[in-house]
Amino acid sequence: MFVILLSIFGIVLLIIIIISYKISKKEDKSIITSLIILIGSIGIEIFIENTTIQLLFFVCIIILIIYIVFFCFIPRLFYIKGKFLFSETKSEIWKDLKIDSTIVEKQEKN
Amino acid sequence: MIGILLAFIPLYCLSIGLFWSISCSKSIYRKNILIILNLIILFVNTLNIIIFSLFDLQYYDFNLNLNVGTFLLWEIIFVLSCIILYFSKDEMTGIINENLYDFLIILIIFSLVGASLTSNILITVIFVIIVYISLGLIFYFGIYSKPFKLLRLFFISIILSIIFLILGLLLIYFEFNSFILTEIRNSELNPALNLIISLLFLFGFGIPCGIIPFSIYHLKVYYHDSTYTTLFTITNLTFPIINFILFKFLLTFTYDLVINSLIILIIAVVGLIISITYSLTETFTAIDGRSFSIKKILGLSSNSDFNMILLISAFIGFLPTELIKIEYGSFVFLFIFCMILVKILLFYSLKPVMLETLDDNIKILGGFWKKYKIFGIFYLIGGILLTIPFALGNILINLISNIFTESLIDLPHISFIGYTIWALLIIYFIIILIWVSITFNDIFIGTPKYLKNKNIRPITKLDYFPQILTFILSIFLCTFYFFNNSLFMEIINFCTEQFMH
Repeated sequence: MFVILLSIFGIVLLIIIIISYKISKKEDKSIITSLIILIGSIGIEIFIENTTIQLLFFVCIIILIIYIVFFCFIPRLFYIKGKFLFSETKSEIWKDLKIDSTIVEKQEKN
Repeated sequence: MIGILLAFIPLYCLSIGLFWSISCSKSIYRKNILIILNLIILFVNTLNIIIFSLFDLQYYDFNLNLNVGTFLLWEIIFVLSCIILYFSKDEMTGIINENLYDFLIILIIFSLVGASLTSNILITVIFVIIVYISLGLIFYFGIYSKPFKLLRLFFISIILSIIFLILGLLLIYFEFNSFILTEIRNSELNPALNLIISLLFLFGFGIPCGIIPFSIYHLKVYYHDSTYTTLFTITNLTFPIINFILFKFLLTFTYDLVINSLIILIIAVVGLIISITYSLTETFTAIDGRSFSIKKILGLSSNSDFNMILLISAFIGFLPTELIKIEYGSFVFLFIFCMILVKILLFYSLKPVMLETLDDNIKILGGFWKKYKIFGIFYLIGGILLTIPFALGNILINLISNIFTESLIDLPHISFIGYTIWALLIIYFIIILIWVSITFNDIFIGTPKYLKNKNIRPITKLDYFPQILTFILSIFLCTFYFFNNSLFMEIINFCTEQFMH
């Protein structure tokens, strides 16, 4: 019973992952892939009992988190047209981002 | 086995929510389905609590910590997440990268659930790191673009906290060769190493939440420029849950030694004084540049909550017997829960402000009483719940006085510290009453000078639901405590023991 239910859950999750990968935007696909790896690694980490392997997995997960933040989220957040943010630190992108105060803009838009 | 499978349904539904939020581009579908999913999770989790407590079920294999205490903590997280998702429907619909924002909110909820699920320190640390980074990222979402440099100090604090956590983990690995809390609790620990590990974890978990050395300085910009939903997520959801987790950690390492408790007590007192001073300065003066911001006042007050909880929980190390320590642990547990209830009432009552205008300066806001009387009443109730007799604050003061008079009567040095904490708690409640009354007067009664939003959504009956639910829960707690004190304490003690396992 337990195994049957678990496998049904697994199949449903797999279908949802495939559907979400298909219907998501091109720029979000990398986030979905990284998320699958991240959740999978944390899931595996929970079932590992050897502390040294756990620590090694921890290092991998930290590297993965750094990758997701710098290569998936920051470029998406700051609208970089697919280019990595820090390669263009002094370019126009940064100039666009420099806003003295959000309050001034708030008042103007109102 | 079915019970364990039921316990995993919330995590399973949250994973579905994560994939759904990132892939669905239609905002109405996405938000509604996420709310429905959250309600299902809430229902299943309530079922879990009933099943696990009725059949006395517990599960501690594979680094997992499945018991009633964990499910209770999840219940708090899921109730708060429902409110956040409902709150964000008005504020964050139509923004750029909206799906990414929802994804990060679900990721924070998922990580907090994961952090409280396990007794393995390593896994808890991974989840907490994900929470902190996601909190940094959700700040940038909103109607207006924000420069990356605004949160420089916040990210520095996160990097520092990650370094502290990793150092703490390495020390534990070399000393115990195990990351499981229950195993560490049963082994002998060198006092000097105990102090170092305690401080590393305290700073690791606490720095982004507002303890010294950064105190509130990295969070001022965050509070001022974030949206109400983001603010609710960081102050009402993240800080209290981190408080719970930190308390569990410190119980293992710190609170066996008096010197550790004393150091944490000093850190908490300094943090408390700084955050209280800043929240009062923000309410009364314009010293700090962009002042009188209601978002900043609420945010800074949540920092003082964090430090106050740390302060009262640090005192556990001074208590003489194990039985009183458990009783005091229940008091801390209840204190965090009461603060969550009060903050929900205060925060949610600002929904009309969020709907009507983009201004957050209390001197510009005003006149909300005419149109939004019920929200005003709940805002006032939120403030006075901690001070009037037969209310939440009264329960807490009653409890702490019972514990102190029972246990500290023959210990003059420790009783001095105990009564100082008691006095600080009362002063702290009075300060909350002061800023609530001042902000209530400015927001609901004062003359309006703010710029109105063009399309204001009318308030529906559903909008009152979170406030009414919180209010009923507070009243239920109060009546339960005053009519059947012993049963109330028995239940709270049981939950605390389960959670602290």
